[in-house]
Amino acid sequence: MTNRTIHAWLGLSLLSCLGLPGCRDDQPEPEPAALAASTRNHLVWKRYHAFAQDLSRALELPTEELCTELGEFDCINDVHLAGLGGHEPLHQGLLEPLAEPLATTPLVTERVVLSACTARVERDRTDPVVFTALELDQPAPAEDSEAFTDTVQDLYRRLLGRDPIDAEYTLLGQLLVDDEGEPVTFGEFAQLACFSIATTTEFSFI
Amino acid sequence: MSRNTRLSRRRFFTGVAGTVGAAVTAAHLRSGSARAEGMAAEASDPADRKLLFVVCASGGASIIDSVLPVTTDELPEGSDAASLNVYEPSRVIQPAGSNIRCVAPLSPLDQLFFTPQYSIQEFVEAHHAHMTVVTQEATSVNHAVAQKRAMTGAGINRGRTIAEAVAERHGRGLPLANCNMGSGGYLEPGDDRTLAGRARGEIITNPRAYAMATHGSRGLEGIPGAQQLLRARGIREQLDDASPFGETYRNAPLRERYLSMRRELGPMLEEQDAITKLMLTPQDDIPAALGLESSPMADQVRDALPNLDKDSWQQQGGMAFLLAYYGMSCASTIGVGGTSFDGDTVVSAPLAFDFSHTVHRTAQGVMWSRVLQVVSGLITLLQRHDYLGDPALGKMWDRSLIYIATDFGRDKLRPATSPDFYGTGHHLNNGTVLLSPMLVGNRVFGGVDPQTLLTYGFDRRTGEAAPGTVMREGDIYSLIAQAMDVDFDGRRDMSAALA
Amino acid sequence: MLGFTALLGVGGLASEAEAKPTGPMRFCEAYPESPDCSGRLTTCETCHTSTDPAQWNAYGGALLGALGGRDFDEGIASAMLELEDLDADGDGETNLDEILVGTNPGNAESIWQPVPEVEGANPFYDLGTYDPRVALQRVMVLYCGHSASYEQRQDFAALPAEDQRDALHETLSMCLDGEYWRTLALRELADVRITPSYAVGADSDVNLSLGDGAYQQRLVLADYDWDYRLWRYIMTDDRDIRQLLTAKYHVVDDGAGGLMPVEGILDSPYETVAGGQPLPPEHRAGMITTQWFLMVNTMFSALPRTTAAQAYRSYLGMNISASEGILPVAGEPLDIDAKGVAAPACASCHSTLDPLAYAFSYYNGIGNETNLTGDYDPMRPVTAMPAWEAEQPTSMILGQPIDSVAAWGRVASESLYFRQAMGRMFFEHALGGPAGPAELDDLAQVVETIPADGHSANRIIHRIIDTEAFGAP
Repeated sequence: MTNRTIHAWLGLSLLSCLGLPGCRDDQPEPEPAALAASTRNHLVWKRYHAFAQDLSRALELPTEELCTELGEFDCINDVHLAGLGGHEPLHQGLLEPLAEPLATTPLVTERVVLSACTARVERDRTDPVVFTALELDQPAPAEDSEAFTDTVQDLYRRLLGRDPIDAEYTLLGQLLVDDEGEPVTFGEFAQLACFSIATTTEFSFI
Repeated sequence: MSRNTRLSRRRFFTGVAGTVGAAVTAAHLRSGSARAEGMAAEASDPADRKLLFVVCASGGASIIDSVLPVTTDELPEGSDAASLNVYEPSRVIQPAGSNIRCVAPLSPLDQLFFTPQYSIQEFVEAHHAHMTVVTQEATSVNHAVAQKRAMTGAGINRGRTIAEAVAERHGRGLPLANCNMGSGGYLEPGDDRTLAGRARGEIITNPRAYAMATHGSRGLEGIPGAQQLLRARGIREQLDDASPFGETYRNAPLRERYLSMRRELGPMLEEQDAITKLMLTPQDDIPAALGLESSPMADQVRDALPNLDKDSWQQQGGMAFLLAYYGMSCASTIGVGGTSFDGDTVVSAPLAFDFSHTVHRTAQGVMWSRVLQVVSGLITLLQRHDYLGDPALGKMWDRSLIYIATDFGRDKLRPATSPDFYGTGHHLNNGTVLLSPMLVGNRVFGGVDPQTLLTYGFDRRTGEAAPGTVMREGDIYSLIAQAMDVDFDGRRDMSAALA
Repeated sequence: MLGFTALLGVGGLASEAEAKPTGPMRFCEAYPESPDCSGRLTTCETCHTSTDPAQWNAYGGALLGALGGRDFDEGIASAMLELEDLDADGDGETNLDEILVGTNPGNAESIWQPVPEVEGANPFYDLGTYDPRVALQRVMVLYCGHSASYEQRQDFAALPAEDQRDALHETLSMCLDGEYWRTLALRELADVRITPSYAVGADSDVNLSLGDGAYQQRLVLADYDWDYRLWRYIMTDDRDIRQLLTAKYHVVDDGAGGLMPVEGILDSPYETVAGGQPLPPEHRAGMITTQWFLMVNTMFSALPRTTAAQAYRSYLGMNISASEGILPVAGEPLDIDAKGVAAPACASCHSTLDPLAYAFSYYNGIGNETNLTGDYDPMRPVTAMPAWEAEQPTSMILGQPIDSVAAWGRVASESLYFRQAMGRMFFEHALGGPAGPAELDDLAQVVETIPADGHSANRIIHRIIDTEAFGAP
């Protein structure tokens, strides 16, 4: 089996055992082999500048248009700078960046990403650059469609620099509908998929 | 073992690797074991909780130029009043009922180009009942070093800042237990790696807009609805765990801590509607399309801090109050900054108290006024409002302590050729002002030698003045810790100052 | 001895004995291979939980017992030898092993377990070994300021394994030549060394109006941008980083987006109190004699202790206020400016700090009568400190007498401490934090190569990206 297929099996096995009827105790499933874990476990926090640059490049937006708070504050270089790993020596006397993320860093990350993804979708309504598979007002594509796989693959390549594994396609397929099972628009799917991928820890740590 | 058979690091690594059980890696060592504690632990009992407010009077706030002045007629015979930093009796005021004296407001001439908006006199008149003046001598005249030592008690409690110590003691279950709006050395974290994660400082650089950091989506335009975002978050959590990156680094401490904050602290802040409660931006300045509201307490805060909408120093005070009032924090640090304008008037000196290098008395007068104006506003708010808005918990003030921290004192001498306008250097000897109903109020502990203008200490247990002794950073730290029910090895018994 | 050790105990008990400032020096003489001694000095925390009042941790208490009343400096080496095979803090590791690994033998919470072996397979990451793909992403983020693109990663992965390292280094070279590293990232590394302040820097918007308002100047006491330019210039293009402490020149924008050196005394371009560079070249010593550095650290002090301490901390990596780098000089402190630093609680640090500071006494901080901030005045020490002429204090750095700040800079720049400090700065930047015990060998090797690599910052970084610490997932 190829690596991708192994993880398809892994991912689907995990999903299929989430309380569905097919997973009764008297039908033992073979334990999927998990990926070997790092034992060095050393990650580096991707701080404000690279974080902003990566969003900017992935979504082809100028950095100054990624996020503004209350209509006036630059999210990245002003109000959320410390939370995104930057430091401001001149006025506040913070001479070195903080060693680790703050309590609000995950929320701030979500805000900036959501703002950026939304900005991209809005721009694409008139001048498609990233979300080009379909018209954004149309219903989201089917999970087995080329539009879906192309969009997801493109987002992973732009944001994380790799192709998605099967389990990731499957998971993101769940964003094609809402909680009631009704299809969302392609624009909504685009926002949510962009948000979901760019707020994973893989985007924030290297 | 002789030197010839020493283990090198590599030999040590390979020799014992096979005998080691799993998990503690170098990364764990670096981060400290206490991070394993769940971030959103069950909250401490509000009835027992105490609140600390550290007010950083940055640059060197001199106690003998504020609430421990010496007058010319108190000097020993033969002293040269013109060469000592003493005041004419007419320049020193003792408000009715106060055991504490203070320097009178600056004359218009002494104000130079500044426009103080408050005075030490007003503060002492209003708050002497709860003022505790403690003499102290610092151990560094380097700003950054002294500032940090003022926060850590010169390392008396394993290098923890007093705010960290209080947050660990009282902050269980609070999402932002320890918030820091200070600067320089006051902003530095402590040095104890075993500190619980919840007690680490949350840096707030822009109090006016900080509320926006407490919600992942509200206030952004054109975004999907809340339910859709919730769904997306759920998918994102699964993506994170299913990805090759997530699986490979599933045990990485940095990632674990981040996920803990995202999965526990973030929802806490959102559920508590922190984005509204902490919103200092006036409603008129919030674009209507964002669907946000100013804090329900904004008007009350503005009543006590009238320039809240324009003055970042008052915004710090307001934010510190809101964080405590709404039960999000139990330790806040705020720090007065440098040059500040109110319209065309200059209300704060460049370099804050360190402008004393240029014009000592003007800088001290202007900056003490500026600091105490916000402290007064904070006290007013704490006295007016019930903790968590619950009358059963009593007024916030009953459980609060305000610590006016500063770097060090200033020179005690004046040049005879220019006794009114002169600059001063840094000086270790000084004092500290604390305010709390948990302390003995309307009292000075220690004294000032009129011959040298150096402060001296006191007996920690009896409170009797003890000329020839000095109190240190560790004493101030111990006093605060004792009042705040923070225990640690090496804490000094400061019972004399406790109410 | 065991009973005595138990009496003193973990967490420390106060005693009438004192902390010994020569302790770190003696420790490192005995254990030069300890990570705490390689280009640095161990701190008082090795033995103490507090130095004022003196309190000992388990190891310090055991040493006190082993000394048995002997003179400290004479007996401490043999006392340490006696205790090598014991485990003072009871954490399961001998004192010697902890010393060599870099954990604290007196603190049971300071312990390190080696990195476990990887169990299982992982086709996405080369676990347990250097993974060039991980290194590529880190190189791009840290030095180019953004992630590697999909195409870049694909192209890289397609290279033969033996070519990937070269490609990695080519990528790094490109990044180090780029705007992000040269303007923003390098600048951020300098912040803690330069300590800029808006209020009195060249960006200040405060005007000083004197008298009837006819005379106005912006309150600029010095311009820290000179310092940032000098730092960035020396840290790029394979220049010798020892110039951080020895450069006689200054640096200006060349008008084409780059930097160029200029010589001599330079006037301020502003209508301000200050903002130029007043020092003649013979009195220059790189970053530690710029107008901003002298202004913000010396200010008005007669003996510029803060200046010396900031130079020691910034360029030799030792923070005296945290009891690092304590190398007491016999007969010091003289307390030359009558500040009371000879008191026992102060002398332990000031016996190192004051001799470091004497050479800086000839440099003004903020203005003299002529308002020349940061200029050289041969009479300044005598004028400012009446005891100077009689005492004739000797400036010392790292155990060597020196006669000027230029010599201070020279000695410092040639030292292992400097190389360790600079190597560690880049290493910590790359790793996102201090090196742990598993990474110390990598750091040591990087530091060792600095002289052979021409003391180039770029070469240091090239060495770092080759380490397992950097590239092993």
